[in-house]
Amino acid sequence: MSSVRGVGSRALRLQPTKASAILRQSRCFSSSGLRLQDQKAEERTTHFGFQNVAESMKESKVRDVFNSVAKNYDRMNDVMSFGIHRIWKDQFVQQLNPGKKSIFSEPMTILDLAGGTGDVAFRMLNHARTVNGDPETRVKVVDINEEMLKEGMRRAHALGYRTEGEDAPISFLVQNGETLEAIPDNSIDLLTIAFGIRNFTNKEKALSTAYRVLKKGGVFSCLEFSKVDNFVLDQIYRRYSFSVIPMMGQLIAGDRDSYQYLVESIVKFPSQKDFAGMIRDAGFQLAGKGWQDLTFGVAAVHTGVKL
Amino acid sequence: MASKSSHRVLRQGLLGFGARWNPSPALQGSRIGLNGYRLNHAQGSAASSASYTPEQAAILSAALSHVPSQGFTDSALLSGVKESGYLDVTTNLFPQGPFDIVKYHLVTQRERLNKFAESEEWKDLQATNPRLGTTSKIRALCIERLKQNKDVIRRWPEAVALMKYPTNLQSSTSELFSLADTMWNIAGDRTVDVSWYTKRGILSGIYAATEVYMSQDKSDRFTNTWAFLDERLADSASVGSTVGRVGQYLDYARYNVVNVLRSKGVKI
Repeated sequence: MSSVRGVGSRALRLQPTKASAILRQSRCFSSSGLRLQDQKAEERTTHFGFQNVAESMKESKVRDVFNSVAKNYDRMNDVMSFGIHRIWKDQFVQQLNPGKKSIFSEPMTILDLAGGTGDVAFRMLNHARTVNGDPETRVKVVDINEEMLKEGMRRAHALGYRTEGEDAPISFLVQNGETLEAIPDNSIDLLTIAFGIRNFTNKEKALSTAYRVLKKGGVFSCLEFSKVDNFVLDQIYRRYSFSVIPMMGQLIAGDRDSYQYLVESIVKFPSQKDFAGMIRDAGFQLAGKGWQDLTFGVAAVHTGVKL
Repeated sequence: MASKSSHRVLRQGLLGFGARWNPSPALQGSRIGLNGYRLNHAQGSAASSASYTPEQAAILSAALSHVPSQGFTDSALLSGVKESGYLDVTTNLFPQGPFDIVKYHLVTQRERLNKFAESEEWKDLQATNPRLGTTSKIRALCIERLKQNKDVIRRWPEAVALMKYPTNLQSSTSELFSLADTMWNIAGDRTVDVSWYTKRGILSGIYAATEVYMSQDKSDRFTNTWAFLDERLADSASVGSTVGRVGQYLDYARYNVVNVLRSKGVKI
């Protein structure tokens, strides 16, 4: 088993994860790790960490992961990333600069996909209000997982935001991000997804759905773990993510398997360049070269615009 | 405009010792692209207008039209975006913000200079002055390029500030170098030797200094700027000839060393 961990490793922490039930049934990481090599040969499967699972099962497995981590989600993020995830999210939001910039503009409708506990959504609202003086910009938080949304709603109420009604500044909606049935075409100014796209079964479908719901000129921006480009740092990072993170998941959240899934899913996520290519293939125009590395590429922000 | 004799001095100076060495036809051939078009040495590092999509070009040129009133700022970029029919949030298409406007201006004006080289105006100039020296051509090209800054020149210090930003420095210097390269190519300089770098370096310096001077120039039709440019070109003559003399000295020293070694029986 230890040999397998070295196989495709890299990756680090954050974001929920979990798949304990299923992982427990097939704890043998080595065989699952090797199986992914010929993943292309098998139709209709996708990866779940280092395992291959039927596409139809990934959704429920990811749901299990997030159900089990919802309560400890932010605390674990802090512990595993030494609080850096907050800096990333701050920078992500600052750069996007949400909120209308002149009295002649319409307020923005922002959709925070896989927004779960709302930490990006609250930053958006805060930025629009305090930096751009725009109290009308609204955020829809969409997640497939009800437990995460309940946590988000609790925090919205604690912060004094209304969540009910047409003009509520923040609303929560259970939706499959790959289809977004309840979101009309050409209705969103800014679609963000922070540490979520990794867990989608069909990323291409999610990207083309994002393209569908965005207005002309709308922006898709995605904050996600990525590839460290410095060899030495990468070795340190892999070591950290594959040995320390699952252990901390066990100690702090009492759930090793979810965090094992987390680090494996980070390794399986495409590189900056490949993912930028996927965004372009969905019809977006890339902003600049398409991405910006954060902390040596541990995370990256990808941005595409629908023109 | 400097006198004819000083042009000759300038030409020799700027060309340095490279003028003594005429590259072989093979070498000259290597500077011509496969399609027969003039090969631009700095092309690899510089952006071209082909890297802008039509939508991006439309937004940036609209933004540029707002620069005289709003400066090289986020609000000019926002105005460009809104004027092209997009949303507030669309400014995220340009991760470098107002520097993207500056860069667009630099790239498009450099390419415009290449087109100018094909124009009747440039051909007429050459036809009427068959003995026009390289330095005169460089001067004409500098003026032609500087004139394109006329509309935004009062805002130019803002652009310079953006270009000096540490994250932007590399792309602005390579753009400046490409401009110098373009000018030398149009002026018909074909030498490929050590002076290739010094020529481009010196011209980049002269051009950038003149540009800054121009942004503060209150004289009628920028006559002071053109005078300033002439003085800088004259100064460069001494720099160029110094480089040339150092080269001559090194050549002399090399021959001496080789001859001494030969006299000792070393087979060189």
